[in-house]
Amino acid sequence: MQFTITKPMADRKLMWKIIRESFFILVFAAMLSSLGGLGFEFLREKIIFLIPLIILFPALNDMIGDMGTIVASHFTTLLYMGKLDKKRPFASPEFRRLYRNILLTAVLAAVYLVAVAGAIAWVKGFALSPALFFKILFVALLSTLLMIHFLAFATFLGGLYVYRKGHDPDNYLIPLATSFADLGNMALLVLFVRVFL
Amino acid sequence: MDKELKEILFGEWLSVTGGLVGGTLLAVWLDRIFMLPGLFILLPGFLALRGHIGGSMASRLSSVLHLGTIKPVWKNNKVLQENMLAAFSLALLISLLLGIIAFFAVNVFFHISDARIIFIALTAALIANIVEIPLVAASTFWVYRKGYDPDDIMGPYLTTTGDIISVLALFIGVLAVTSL
Repeated sequence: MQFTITKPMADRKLMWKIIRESFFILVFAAMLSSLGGLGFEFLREKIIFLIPLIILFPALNDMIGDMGTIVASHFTTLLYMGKLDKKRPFASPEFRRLYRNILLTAVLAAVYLVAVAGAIAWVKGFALSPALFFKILFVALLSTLLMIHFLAFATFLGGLYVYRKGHDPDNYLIPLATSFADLGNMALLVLFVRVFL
Repeated sequence: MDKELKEILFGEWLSVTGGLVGGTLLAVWLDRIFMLPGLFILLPGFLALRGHIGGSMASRLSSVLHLGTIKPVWKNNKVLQENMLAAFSLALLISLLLGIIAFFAVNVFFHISDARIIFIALTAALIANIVEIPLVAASTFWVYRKGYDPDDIMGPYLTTTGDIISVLALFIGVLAVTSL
């Protein structure tokens, strides 16, 4: 199967090819994101007063999505280079190294995000108490850690499944990983905001 | 610290800092942007769309640059033109869908019927993509001409610029539609 364009295509064939191949996965991703947004809409009255959370939200979503992309990209590279034990993928030294690096990055990024968002909100006049700051930090860390674990295991297992079916994981993993990462992160944030904040 | 960790940390720092700028703009314009029901439903998908479409376009351009199919120039570059047209069309179509989903969701769950959310989604998509799509092309070419691999750089870069451009476009979209 050819996955790349090797010569220019005539007329608008390339444009239609791109649209045809991308459309349904983008629709799926849009629906997943809207589902997550619906959860936020239900908590609208609460969330719009939590300025640090508003500041934090795009960056936290970006980070989880990026982690999904990194895990998916590394998975396919390890798979095609033969560095992944297909029978015991989680026992591979490469998986363990990636898992450790992703986890460390996610924790550091979450702390950075909450600290900067809190500082910006405080400068804007939001009454950020230490208790509220630590609650927001707890919510951000908990949702990040849960999502990283879910992404790492789901991507590797899902990728192996797709590969065994004879498909190229590159065509599926990144859009699916980022979409589920976004949805999962938003769902967890909504849940934790309801419970803890 | 291993090389992989350094690269991931740097990319993430860049990406989340851009997200913080976008989030700060949201907080500054909170009363304007979120006064309309449905904006929370629209927002995540609209922000993610820049990355999905821009990222895919950058990746495709990177592949054809590496293969030598095209040169990093604008003139008579049919592959580039078709990619930009496809990206623009997809962005408008999916943004329209996001607006429609938000409209129906607010209608069903909150019993509010306000079609302005659809026009905001379309207006914001038009503004964002007029800026973002040429920027993706120009940035990918620039990175390639400087001798770097766009695959390593464009991801976090697009996440950063996408958030800022999307929030600005949404604000302008809300202002434009609500003042009519």
